Amino acid sequence: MSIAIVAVFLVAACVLGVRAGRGQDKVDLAAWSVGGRSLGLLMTLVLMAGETYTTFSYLGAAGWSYTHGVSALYVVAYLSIGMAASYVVGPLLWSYAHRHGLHNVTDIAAHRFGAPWLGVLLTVAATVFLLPYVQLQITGMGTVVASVSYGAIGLGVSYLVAFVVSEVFVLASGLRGSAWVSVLKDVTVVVTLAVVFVFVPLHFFGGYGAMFAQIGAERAAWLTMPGPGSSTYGLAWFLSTALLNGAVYSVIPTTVAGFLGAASPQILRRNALLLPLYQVLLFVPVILGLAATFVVPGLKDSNLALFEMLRTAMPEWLFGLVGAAGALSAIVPLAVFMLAIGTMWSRSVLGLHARTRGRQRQLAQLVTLLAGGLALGMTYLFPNALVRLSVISYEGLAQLLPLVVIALVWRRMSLAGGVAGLVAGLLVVLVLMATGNDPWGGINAGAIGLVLNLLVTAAVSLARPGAAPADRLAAPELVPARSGPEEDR
Amino acid sequence: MSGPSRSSRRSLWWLLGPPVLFCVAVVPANRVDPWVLGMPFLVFWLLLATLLSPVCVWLAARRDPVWQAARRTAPGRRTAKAAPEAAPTAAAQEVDRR
Repeated sequence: MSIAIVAVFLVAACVLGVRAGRGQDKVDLAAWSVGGRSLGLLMTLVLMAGETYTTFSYLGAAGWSYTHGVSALYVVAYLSIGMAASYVVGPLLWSYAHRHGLHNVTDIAAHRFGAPWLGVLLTVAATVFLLPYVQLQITGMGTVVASVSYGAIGLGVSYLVAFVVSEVFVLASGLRGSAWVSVLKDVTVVVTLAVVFVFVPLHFFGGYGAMFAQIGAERAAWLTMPGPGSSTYGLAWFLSTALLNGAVYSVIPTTVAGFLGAASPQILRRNALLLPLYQVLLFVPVILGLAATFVVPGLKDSNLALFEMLRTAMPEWLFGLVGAAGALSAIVPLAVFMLAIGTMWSRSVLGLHARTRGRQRQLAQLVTLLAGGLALGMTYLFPNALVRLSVISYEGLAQLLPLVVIALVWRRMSLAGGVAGLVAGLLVVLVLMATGNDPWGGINAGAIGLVLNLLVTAAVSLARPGAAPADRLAAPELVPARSGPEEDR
Repeated sequence: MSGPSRSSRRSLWWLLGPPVLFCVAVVPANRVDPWVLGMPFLVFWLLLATLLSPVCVWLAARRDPVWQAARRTAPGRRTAKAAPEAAPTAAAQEVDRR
């Protein structure tokens, strides 16, 4: 019963996603990779919400608070900070990309410095850090489906289903297809989280007051940082992670795909204003993760905290609906991650040659398929390798910030400076992670890497300054004339 | 960068509101007591900060000349004096023009 509901939603996602691509230009890469740069406010909002709230919202957040307590809310902190920053950074990237016909962070940086090899370097780095997220979504989907089918469907089959469904609509309709599937996803997620948030306290505790009272009396350590048992996730970690991830949010290739899909920069500013409200939803899994410590104590896999708790008590059909929301939370980000990887490889590596330039769209779709296949294969063969890497995904992607964003506003930043900073930052992150020092002295290793990255970038650029021509910089957004050139569309 | 862009976009300082709410104010807020609205203090504080963050962005936008200029030229908008709270609804109508 419950698994049938999940199946219905997955079929609906495919149909909706594929239909979204009807009438789309079949040759132009931009029509696929950035939705023809034509998404309105509502679609941009839904897409950005769809790709930001991943399976982490369903599994990881509850699992985190189940184990470590309310430091799980670092997600809310960094997304709020990141979305405020996107008020400025979103339009900046949008305008530059729009002016020069660019598709993602790698070709933006390569274009800024007139250095195709930089695009290659950044594509490889970004892929290494994004693939773990692709795999996390696949395994997340497996966890959900296995739980919702009461064990009838194995993990292996669920992984394959996640791969097939997301490839179907992303290959057919690209970013626009993902936006339409996000509509289905967001509605399902909002409704089920609301239901669950009412159901759990009433069913297990007799009400909110009783639930919080019991948590306060018996789980007080969970309610502050650093949380129970360990000092890893203390205040310093919370602050540095919120700042770092907040700064990085705007250069994550999937976020940038969403930015560039918008029809105008004003849509991105409105998005920055409205999207943060969506985060109130993330309090639900975090609080319910605390409740799960009473209902299903001693889980081996904390990611199952929410689902195991619900499985014991919910009617099957309702549990199926929750499962559908969880599955869609895996599928949409999965699709956009693969699309971003495909776009970057096509634009910055494979489609550079005069012979391949005309086939950028097919190349992007091919890489989208290959990247998904690679992550799927890794999930079967080395399930832990990529997950270990995913810990430093954000910390690694953070190191792209100077080359992608600061370069557009600092005329004298040099290529040597940016690359030296990137290498320094990546080395710090990798060394700290490999030696088990992340967080280092309580501080997120990526933040330490980014500070060093910025210092090296600045020092080398000041010693050997570059001089970018005006068209390789962000245009001033406010011009003395009555309306900005980009605003009057 | 020429033109008045830097000096007259002073309201963008409001965008530092969220980092202050989440990263500075959270230090004294990292406590269980007092309970507010049935929530332990830290959870309450983070919820409040989450709700105040969009307010900070709104304060930044409201006096941002770039935002105002875009509002004047936005499709379907006739007057510069449209009520601010009407913006989301009006904007929601420009859904996905194909």
